[in-house]
Amino acid sequence: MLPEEIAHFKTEIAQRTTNLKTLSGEFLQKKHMAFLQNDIESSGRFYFVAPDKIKWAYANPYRYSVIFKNGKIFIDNEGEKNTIDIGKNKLLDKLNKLIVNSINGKMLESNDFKIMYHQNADYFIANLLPTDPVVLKLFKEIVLTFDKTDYKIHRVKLVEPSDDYTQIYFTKLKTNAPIEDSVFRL
Amino acid sequence: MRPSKIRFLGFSLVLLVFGACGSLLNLEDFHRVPIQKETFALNPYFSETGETHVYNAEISVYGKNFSGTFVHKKMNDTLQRAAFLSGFGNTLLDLSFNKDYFKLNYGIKEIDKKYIVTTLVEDFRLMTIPVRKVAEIYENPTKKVLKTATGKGFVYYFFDKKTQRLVKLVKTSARKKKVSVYFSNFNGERPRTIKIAHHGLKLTISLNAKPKAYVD
Repeated sequence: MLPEEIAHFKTEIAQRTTNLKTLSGEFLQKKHMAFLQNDIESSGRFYFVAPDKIKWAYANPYRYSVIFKNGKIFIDNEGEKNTIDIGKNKLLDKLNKLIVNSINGKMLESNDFKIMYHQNADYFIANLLPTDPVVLKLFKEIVLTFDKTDYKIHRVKLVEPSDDYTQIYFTKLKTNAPIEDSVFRL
Repeated sequence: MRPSKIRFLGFSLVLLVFGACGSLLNLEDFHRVPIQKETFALNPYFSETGETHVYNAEISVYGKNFSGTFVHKKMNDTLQRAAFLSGFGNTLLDLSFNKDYFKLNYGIKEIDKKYIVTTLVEDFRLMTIPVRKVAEIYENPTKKVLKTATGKGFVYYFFDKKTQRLVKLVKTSARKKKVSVYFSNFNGERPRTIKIAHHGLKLTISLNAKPKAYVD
């Protein structure tokens, strides 16, 4: 992408990030491991309320919900409920923040990544190379794909040091629609 | 050696022998069956080469709970691969192992500790090793138990006589019960629920599969 195209793209994303109050939609998660013939798929819905309240509700193949709010992580694994202080599961918190900031566009403002931009006919693509050693141990690259028509996130690809990766595809995204507080209760 | 010491040693040996197959595993109502020919204990659940198993996993260790996905694949006649993924899909642990060797392909720093990795390898071996030579056989009206020797202790295979399914594995040292694996909630010949419980450590691994959770 040309420098002015990158600048324009970043301005558009930053504007949307600033104005983002809520975001919800459906997701399809596909885990690729080199030793498996097929990817492991899971899917569900997510609900985000700025600045940092989020629920991931997996429906297939397992019912698994994880809510991050008020410094706590609430988990419902097929009816087995747990509450964890975020400080006691820093890894889950870190992963959640990486994905949330990928969806809302904040990652593009982060100094923890070296970012390269390119595009194809349908998407803007940002390749993020972590410089933070903690993130680098988990992921060698994070690729964010945004829809060219509305600048909404299309896909987050998290590439692990082994080259195995997880792709999360987002669909039916709704921006700034009201989200009931009851969504964030298990 | 003085006579009292000999008596004490003899008493200890008796305790050891009867302790191992009596109160240790609660086999009082079982009777020993003579072995007529060479017999092998078979665990059919992870024995198909190339087949992948995906389970929803819950690990509870000293009051802390971790949820995610457990993946297993038998790579060839001897080598197995097992991985534990977080809810978000990223790999937390990836191991290759056989009967006497293992390689940590990847482990996050919280898991990459020798005692954690070796405990998990031993658990996965116990749960998946497809065949062991039988040393002793016990029976009661409902269960058949095959006792196998591992070198460091024993693994007991509990079969339900009616269904002929393997329903429990118990690993012991010479004196103590160490780990039990329970297979239940069957879908055809597949256990949908597997529970690994340690008797000396507060570590439990619960695995639950959906009927179509086999991806390959």
